[in-house]
Amino acid sequence: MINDKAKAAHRLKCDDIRELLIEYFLRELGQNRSDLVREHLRKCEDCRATAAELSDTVDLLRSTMHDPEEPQRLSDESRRRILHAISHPLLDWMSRHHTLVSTVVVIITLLVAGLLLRDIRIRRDLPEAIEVEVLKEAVITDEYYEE
Amino acid sequence: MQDKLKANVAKHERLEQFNAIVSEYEAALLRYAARLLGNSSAAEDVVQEAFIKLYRRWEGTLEPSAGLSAWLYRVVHNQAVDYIKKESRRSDAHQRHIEEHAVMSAPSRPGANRSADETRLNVRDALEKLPLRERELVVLKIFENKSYKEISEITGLTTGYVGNILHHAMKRLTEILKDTGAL
Repeated sequence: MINDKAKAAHRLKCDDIRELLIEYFLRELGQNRSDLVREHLRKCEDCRATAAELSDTVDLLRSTMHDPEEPQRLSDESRRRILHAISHPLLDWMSRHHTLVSTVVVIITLLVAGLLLRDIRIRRDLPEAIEVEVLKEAVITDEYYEE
Repeated sequence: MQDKLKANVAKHERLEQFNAIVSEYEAALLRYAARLLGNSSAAEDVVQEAFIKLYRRWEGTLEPSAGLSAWLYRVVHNQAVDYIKKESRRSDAHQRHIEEHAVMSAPSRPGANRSADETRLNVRDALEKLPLRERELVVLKIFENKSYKEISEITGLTTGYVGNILHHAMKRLTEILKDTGAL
């Protein structure tokens, strides 16, 4: 059995083995393929060097795993923002889309102002117009009786 | 009246479950986002958004589970991608990144810790040179110690493809670290 594995490992090309190295180090290979890689590494110096390099890379990366500069928990400000967002979804939506909300508010304000101005102008001009109409009416009536 | 009371109790319970989930996953997600983005404050924003989305969109019970964990990592990844796109659109992004990096990379303690800081800086720089997908897989596998199956659930990639990308990413990382003299 062991001899069979040794033969199979020997038959595998170095490129095939190198493709498997990362999975081998990260223990993602099944037992059989791990044995093949191990057997090949025992005999092939080049692959052994590549494996050592890869192993060093993994070790180096893992040595920097605990970075004291990285935050371990969310800040109080973030927690407060989360709580606000989930308790007041509408206000949260408005503050996220503040540009859109501001634009809509400005448009509505302009529309309302326009309507009000038109209304004021009509109210201001209306008595004058009525007066003119009444006078016209009176003139017509006078002319009629004179005739 | 009783319905309103029941609704309030249910809301309170959900909020408590949510707080427990935040405490359970915040450290891992902050670490993951910080390594993807190379920026702690952006990482905090991204994780905060992920938790808000969780509360609004997660339909099941808020209990720690593999499915919920994969969902959170996926949302953080998507948020990080959005953040990177938004940042790259800003004209002064590059300058700001350099400044932030200078602050983050400044050795905080003299003496013995300096070399550890340098190593961390070299690793961070090397990671930033990888495409985002490769960086994501390296962080999930090497730092977060996720299995290929878990990574597949988080990224939506097949386990075979995960192995393939990781193989190329590690090869590239080794080259970069060798070039910078870290290896």
